[in-house]
Amino acid sequence: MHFYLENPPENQTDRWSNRPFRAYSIVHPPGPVNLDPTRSEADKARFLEHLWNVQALYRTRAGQSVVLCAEEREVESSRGGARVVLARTYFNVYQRTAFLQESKKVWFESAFFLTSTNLSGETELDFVFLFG
Amino acid sequence: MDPVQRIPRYTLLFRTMIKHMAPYDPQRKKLIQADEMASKIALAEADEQTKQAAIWYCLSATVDGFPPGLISNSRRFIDCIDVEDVIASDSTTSSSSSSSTGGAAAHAGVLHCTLFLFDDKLVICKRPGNGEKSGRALAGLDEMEKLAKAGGLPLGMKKSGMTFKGVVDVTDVVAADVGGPGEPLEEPYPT
Repeated sequence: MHFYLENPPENQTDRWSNRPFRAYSIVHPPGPVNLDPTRSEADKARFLEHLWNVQALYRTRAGQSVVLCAEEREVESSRGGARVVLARTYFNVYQRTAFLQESKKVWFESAFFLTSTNLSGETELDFVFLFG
Repeated sequence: MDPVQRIPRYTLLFRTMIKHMAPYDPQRKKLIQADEMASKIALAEADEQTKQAAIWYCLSATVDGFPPGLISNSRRFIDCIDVEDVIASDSTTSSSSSSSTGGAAAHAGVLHCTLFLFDDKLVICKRPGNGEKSGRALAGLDEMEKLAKAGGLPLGMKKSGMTFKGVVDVTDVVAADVGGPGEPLEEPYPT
């Protein structure tokens, strides 16, 4: 599995510091990597699901938003279809006031703003969908 | 009567009553609930808060350099996994790296580590030696689970050789499953 750390540890020794990209292979000590591929795949899937769930739920901790999850979809295909990239999108849905209180808004790559027009003809921001 | 026998005797009484009670008796549901609660108490299993506290104790006792500031009642342990961190030879590191060979990038080394996932942080710990032991065993988490089920808690734990090597916020992590063995080392993300 590949990890990209936006802020990798900087105060560690030697090769443990300042490497944003990390390529991890699952291992079951004392055996070598890939001794039991089925178990490795299962453990990897379990850990990644836990990580993605934690990330998806992080912004709901204060009760300011709810999280929705779209089905996985293919976003890229290369090497004649031999390599396929699937993406799963999580949405945090806020009401306007709660979104404005959110301290870290710049994390998301894009946002979709759902607005409506009130009786006075003014545009109001109702919901914000954040794509992470 | 020995106090420890009192609760199990109640569960036996409840179950006997349920067995002889008419299926549509209005008291039946409450009696079943009472039996479930009494059974749970009889197990004397440590509650969730105690288990989390025991996890913090295990990690701080066994991992060298584990930052005390990470320990918090509001932070929950989720999962851990043993990995080998394969360093590509052209990674920007301070250590010397081997020269690249043709084809797939050669790797400059392998770091044996365990990733500990919490509900807001990801902790990286180095495993000692050639990574012969799992992080879960070194931290005593397997033993802790067995003890917690029996109502006990770990005591007298010592440093295991694992070393703290950094913590990141989960919101600063982009993780991808690149599929099976022989995962490519090329860096797909912007630096």
